[in-house]
Amino acid sequence: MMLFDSVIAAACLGAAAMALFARDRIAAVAAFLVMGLLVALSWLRLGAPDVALAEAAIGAGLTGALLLRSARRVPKASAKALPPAQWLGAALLSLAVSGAILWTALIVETAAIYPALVNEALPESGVENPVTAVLLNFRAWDTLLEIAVLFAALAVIAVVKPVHPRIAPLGPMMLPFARVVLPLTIFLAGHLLWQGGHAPGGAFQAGAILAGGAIALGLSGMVRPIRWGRAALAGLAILGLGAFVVAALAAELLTGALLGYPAGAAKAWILAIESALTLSIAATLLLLFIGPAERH
Amino acid sequence: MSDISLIVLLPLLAAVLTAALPRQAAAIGTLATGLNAFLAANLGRQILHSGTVTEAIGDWTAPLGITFDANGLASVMLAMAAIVGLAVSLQAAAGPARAGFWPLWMATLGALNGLFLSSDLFNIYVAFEILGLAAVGLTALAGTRASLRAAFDYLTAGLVGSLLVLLGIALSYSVTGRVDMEAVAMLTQSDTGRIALALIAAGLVVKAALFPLHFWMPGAHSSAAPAASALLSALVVKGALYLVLRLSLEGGAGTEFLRNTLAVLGAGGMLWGAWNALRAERLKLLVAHSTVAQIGLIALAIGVAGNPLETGLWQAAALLMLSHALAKAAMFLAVGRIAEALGHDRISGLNREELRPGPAEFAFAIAAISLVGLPPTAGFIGKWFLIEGLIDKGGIHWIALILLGTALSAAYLSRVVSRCLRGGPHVSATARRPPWRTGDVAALGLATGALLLGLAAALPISLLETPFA
Repeated sequence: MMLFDSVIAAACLGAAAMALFARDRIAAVAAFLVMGLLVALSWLRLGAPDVALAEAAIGAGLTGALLLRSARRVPKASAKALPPAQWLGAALLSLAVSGAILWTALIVETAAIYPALVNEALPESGVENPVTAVLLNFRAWDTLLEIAVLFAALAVIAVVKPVHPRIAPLGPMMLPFARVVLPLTIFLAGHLLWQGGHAPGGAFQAGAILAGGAIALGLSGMVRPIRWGRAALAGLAILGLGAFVVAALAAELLTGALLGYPAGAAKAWILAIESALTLSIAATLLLLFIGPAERH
Repeated sequence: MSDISLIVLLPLLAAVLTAALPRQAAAIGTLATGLNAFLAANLGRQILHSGTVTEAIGDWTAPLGITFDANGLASVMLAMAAIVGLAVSLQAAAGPARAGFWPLWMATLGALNGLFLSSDLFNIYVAFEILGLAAVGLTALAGTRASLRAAFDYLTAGLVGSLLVLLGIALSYSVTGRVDMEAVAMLTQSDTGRIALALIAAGLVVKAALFPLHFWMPGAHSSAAPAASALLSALVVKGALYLVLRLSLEGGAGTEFLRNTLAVLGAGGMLWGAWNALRAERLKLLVAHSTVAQIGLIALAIGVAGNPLETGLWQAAALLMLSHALAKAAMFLAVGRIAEALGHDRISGLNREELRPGPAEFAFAIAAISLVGLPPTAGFIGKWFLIEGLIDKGGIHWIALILLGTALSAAYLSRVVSRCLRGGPHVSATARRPPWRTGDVAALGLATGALLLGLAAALPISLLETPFA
C-alpha cells in the first residue's frame, strides 16, 4: 500500500501544480477537480471516510462546478506577473503553513484524549457514529454556527449580486443522463442521511449530493426556470438555520439545557434536525450555483 | 430559558426572519437589538450579583462539549455590542433601506455574542467565520466599485487570518487533546504549544488589523456605508482583540514573548496610524486610520499587562475597547451625516461659509475628546488606568509612547474639529443649520454615552473585577 499512497500523494501535487500553472482556465479547473478527488481518496486512506465523502461532494464536486461556471465569466487575468512583494508574501505564508503542518505530523505526539471521551459518552448520544454524535450532539453548537456561516455566505452573495446568466441546456445527451442521475441522487442523499446515524454520512454530504442532482436536472433543460423557484429555494435555504435555532430553544424548554435533547429521543431529534439541514444545504448550494436573482 | 441561550440565539433567529421578510426587516432588526440590549443588561446584573455564570451546552461539559462562560469581561463586551448595536440599528432603520443590511448585521451580532460567551477555541473560530463573512457583506453593501474591491481585500485578508487561527487550533488540539479554554494554560508549558498560540495570535493580528498587518483595513472601513463602517470599526475588529485578551488572561504568565511582541506592534500601530491620519485627505479615511492607531493602543495595553493574574492592567485594555467602540461608532455615524450634508468628505472642504455646524459636528467633537482621552470621558478612564498601572510597574518608556500617541491623536482629530466648529467671521450671517436627522440622534447618543461612561465608569470596572470562575 506504500506504493499506492506515494502515487496518490505525487498525483495530488501534480494536479495542484497543473491547476496553478495551466494556461487554459477550463484545464486549470479540471485539474482542480482531479486534485479534489485525489484528496478525497487520501482521506479515505487516512481512515477518515466522513471527511473523504465531504471532500468529494463539496470540495471537488460543487466547488468544481462553481469554478467551471465562473471560469468563462471572469475576464482573462492580465499577463502581468505578480508584484514581487505579493509573490514573496504568498510564498512565505505557504511555506510557513506547510512547514507547520509537516512538523505537526512528523514530530508532535497527538494527545488522544478526546476520542476516549466520545466513546464513553456515545451510548447516551442517540447515534452510533461518533462523528455524528460529535457534530449533532456533543458539539451541536458548532454545527449550528456552521449553518449560520452558510446563511452569511448566502446573504453576502445576495448583497454582491453577481451576474448569473440563464443556464443553457447542455445538449441532447444531458436529458437521459439527468433521468438516471436525479433519482439516484435523491436515493443516495436519503441513504447517506439515514446512514449518518451509524456509519459515515450525514447532512452535509447528503445535501451536497442532492444539490448535484438538481444541477444536473437544470443543465438537462427539462425544467424551465419558474418565477417563484428562486424565492422558494431561498426560503428552503434559510429554513435550516431557523429550524436549528428553534430546535435548540425547544430542547431547552423541554430539558432545561440548550440543545439538550430529551432522554431517549436523541436519535429522533438528530434525524429531524439533519433532515432540515440536508434540504437547506442542498438549496443553499444550488442557489450559490444558479445565483440568488436572475439577471440578463 | 436562560439569558445566555437567548442572547446567542435571538440574533440568529432575527437574521432568519429579516432575510425571510425583507419589508419588515428594519422593524424586526430594531426590536431584536432592543431585546438584545435588555438581555445583556440583565446578564450583567446577574454577574454583578452572583459572579460568573457558566452553562454547559446540551449538558455536555468541557472538554467533551462546549461551555458558555459569562464572566465580567464577556459581560462588558456584550454591553459594548448592545449599545453600539442600538445606535446603529436606529440609524439604519431611519436611513434609506439597503436590502441585505439586516440579515448581515443580525448574523454579526449573533456571532459576536457567541464569541464573547464561548469558552471553546474551535467554537470561537466558527463564530469568527460568521463574523468575517458578514463583515465582507457589510463592506460590499455600499455597492460602489471601491467598496467591492475593499470587500474582496477584506475577504482575502480574513481568509489568511482564519487559516492561521485554524492551524493554531489544530496544532493545540494535537498537543493538548482538547480545544476548550483550559487548553491555553497547558499550551504555555511546551514549545510546541507556544508555537500553536503564536499561530493563533498571528491570525488574530490579521483579523484585528493590527500594524503591520492592517493594510486591508483603512480601505474597507472607509469605503463602506456609514452604518456598516461603524459596525466594522467599533465591533468587528474587537472580536479578535477580545480573543487576544482572553488568551492572555487564560495563559497566565506563560505567554511573555507573545505579549512583548504585541506591545511593540501596538506601539508601532499607534504611531503609524496616527501619522497616516495626519496626512489623510478624506474624513472617512482619517477616521479609519485613527482606528489603526487605537487598535495599536489597545494591543499595547494587552501586551504590557504582564501576568494578568497579578496586575489589573488588563482591565485598562477592556475599558479602552469599550470606549473606543462607543467613540468610533459615534464618529463614523457623524461622518456619514457630515458627508451627507456636504455632499463630500474632503477635510479641506469642511470649512463652510453657508452651513453652520450641526449636531453631527458636535457628536464628532465629543467622540474626538473621548478618543484623545480627556476627562471626563470613557477614553480618559481607560488611559488613566493604563498609565497608573504602568507607573506602578515601572514602564516609563511605554508611558512616553502612549503620551506621544495621544498628542498625535489630538493633532489629527483637531484637523477636523477645528474646521467643523469654527464660528465667527468665517460663517456668513445667513448661514443655515443642517436639519436634524435620526443619524444625528444615533451619533450624538453614542458620543454622549462615551461621555457618561467616563462618569459612570464604576459600573464596568466592578464588572471587570468580578472574579473569574
